[in-house]
Amino acid sequence: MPEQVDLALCWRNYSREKGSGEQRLPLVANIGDFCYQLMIGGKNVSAAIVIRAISVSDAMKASIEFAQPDSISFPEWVRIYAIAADNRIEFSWLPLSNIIKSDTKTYIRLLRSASAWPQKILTYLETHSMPWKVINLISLLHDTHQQYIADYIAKINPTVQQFKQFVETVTDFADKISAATYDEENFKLLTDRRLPAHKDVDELVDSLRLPLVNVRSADNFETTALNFSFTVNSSDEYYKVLQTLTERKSVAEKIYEILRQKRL
Amino acid sequence: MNIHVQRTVLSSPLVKELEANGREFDIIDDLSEVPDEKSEIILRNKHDLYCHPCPATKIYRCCNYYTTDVMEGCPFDCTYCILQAYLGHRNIQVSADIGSIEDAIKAMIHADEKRRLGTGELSDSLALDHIFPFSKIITPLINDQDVLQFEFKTKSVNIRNLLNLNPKNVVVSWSLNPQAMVDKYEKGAAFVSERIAAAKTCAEAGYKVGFHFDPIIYYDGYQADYAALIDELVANVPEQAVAYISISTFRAPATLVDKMRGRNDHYGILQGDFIRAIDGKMRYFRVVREEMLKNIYYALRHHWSKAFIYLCMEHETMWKELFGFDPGERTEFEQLFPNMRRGL
Repeated sequence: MPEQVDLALCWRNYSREKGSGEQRLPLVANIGDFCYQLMIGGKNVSAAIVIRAISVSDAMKASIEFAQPDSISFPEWVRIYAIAADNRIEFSWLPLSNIIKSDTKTYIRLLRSASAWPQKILTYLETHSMPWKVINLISLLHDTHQQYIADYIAKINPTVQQFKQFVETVTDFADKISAATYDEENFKLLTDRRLPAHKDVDELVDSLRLPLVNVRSADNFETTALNFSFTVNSSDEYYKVLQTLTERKSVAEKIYEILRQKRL
Repeated sequence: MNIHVQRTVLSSPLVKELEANGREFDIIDDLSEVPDEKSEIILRNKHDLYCHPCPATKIYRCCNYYTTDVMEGCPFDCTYCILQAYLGHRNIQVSADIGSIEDAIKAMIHADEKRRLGTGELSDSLALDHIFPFSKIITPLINDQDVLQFEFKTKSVNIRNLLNLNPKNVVVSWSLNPQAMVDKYEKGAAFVSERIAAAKTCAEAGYKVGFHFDPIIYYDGYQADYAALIDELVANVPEQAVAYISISTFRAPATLVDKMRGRNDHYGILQGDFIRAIDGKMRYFRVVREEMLKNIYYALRHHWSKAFIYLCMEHETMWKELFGFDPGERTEFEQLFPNMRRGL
């Protein structure tokens, strides 16, 4: 049964080191006439739980249930989808409804799309939990922009927040990004919001700096309300802050003078 | 477009209208039988509140408009449309219970209080008027009531039904954006020149007309495009026919931004410099909004010195900056509209 061999190879190819070196997902192996479900987290085949499966799809289903569907990451689902597609197995039997917020059709479209993404993106998503809407945005981008994101990951190794913002910005400016290679300076230049607000904001933010005290606009300068906040660890620090606020009263006056000038 | 009629509403006058005009439709028992696409229209039972105050956001000034929800969903596919985030469906759901709609409108009548209401909140008021002629149903009802003013708000030129009606107490209004923006972001809607021509026709037929410069979108050269649009408008529509003009810049809750990003036609519109405003919506930074609103306002005022122009969902400080006063909360604000003073 060649399909079963293919399946075993796919799962084996999926195996990877993570953190302490453990393998997360179960492996399905084809040995003799049986499909074997290998223990999660164990490299040692001797620790296997053996499940008899009468078909490749049964073996896959057993694997997924054993791993618990809600613990399977998006890239892992991508691989499962690829295995199912390679083996011409209907994907509808997979227990997707429990784990996805979008409809199954949309999710399968995402998996199909993601199976062609640069590996760098999938590898990143294995270790960084990402909202569905960000994954969906990646799926809607052109190949070039997906490669651009992969290159960004390689060069920056972004936090989840950085990545999310980057994908959204690439989406917003996709019509202006033609290169597949990320360049920080060029990206800044392309995505610079060329509205007059920036300079004003920068000037205001600069003017809000006070030692020991954090000053910020309460509502992005929609009104004249400012928040002054500080942290103290002792009464001495408290008095220091008070002194700063008193001594720097002129800063507050300056801030409001700028707000007036800006008609804010 | 495909029309589906819920079995429970087969006796509706709107079904008779379909039959009289030879329009094909199929009968369904459940809404789930219909694909969730803009091409699908469902004539259905609906028991929701038909007339209710516009769900304005807090803090920003609201004009106390009442929406009349006879239809949910729109055949046009505007990139920036809030309905994408607001409605849970793409198909167009039309209320078949004409009696209840009429009752809801009548319930808005209070002898000492004038009210403005319209059907353009959850759909385009006129885009499907050739299929479901709500204009013919609502206009005679409104014309009997001196305390109601009804607005048909549209991006279409589907005005034929209106031309055979008495225009008393009815305002026909159009959303306007430069053609470059229409091409990019208002899929399926009429060319802006056609909208202006339709407004001219309605004005000639005796209707008061309104215009909504909303959402005004920032892009390089927007000033020149809006100025040209205003030139075209004032060259075609007499100021005396204008009931009101609203102006407001692009704004969107985060859910709408997500929806827009999921489309392939948003390029440009999300490249602005946005802040999260007090109501949680993404808006242009205040200084930018002020510049945009002033540009449009002064361009209009340059031609039309008397037309009533107001800001839709703007902060009181913006009102003070542009007009020198705060319009106040809903009912106070509403009285600024021509012929809307209480007790008149």
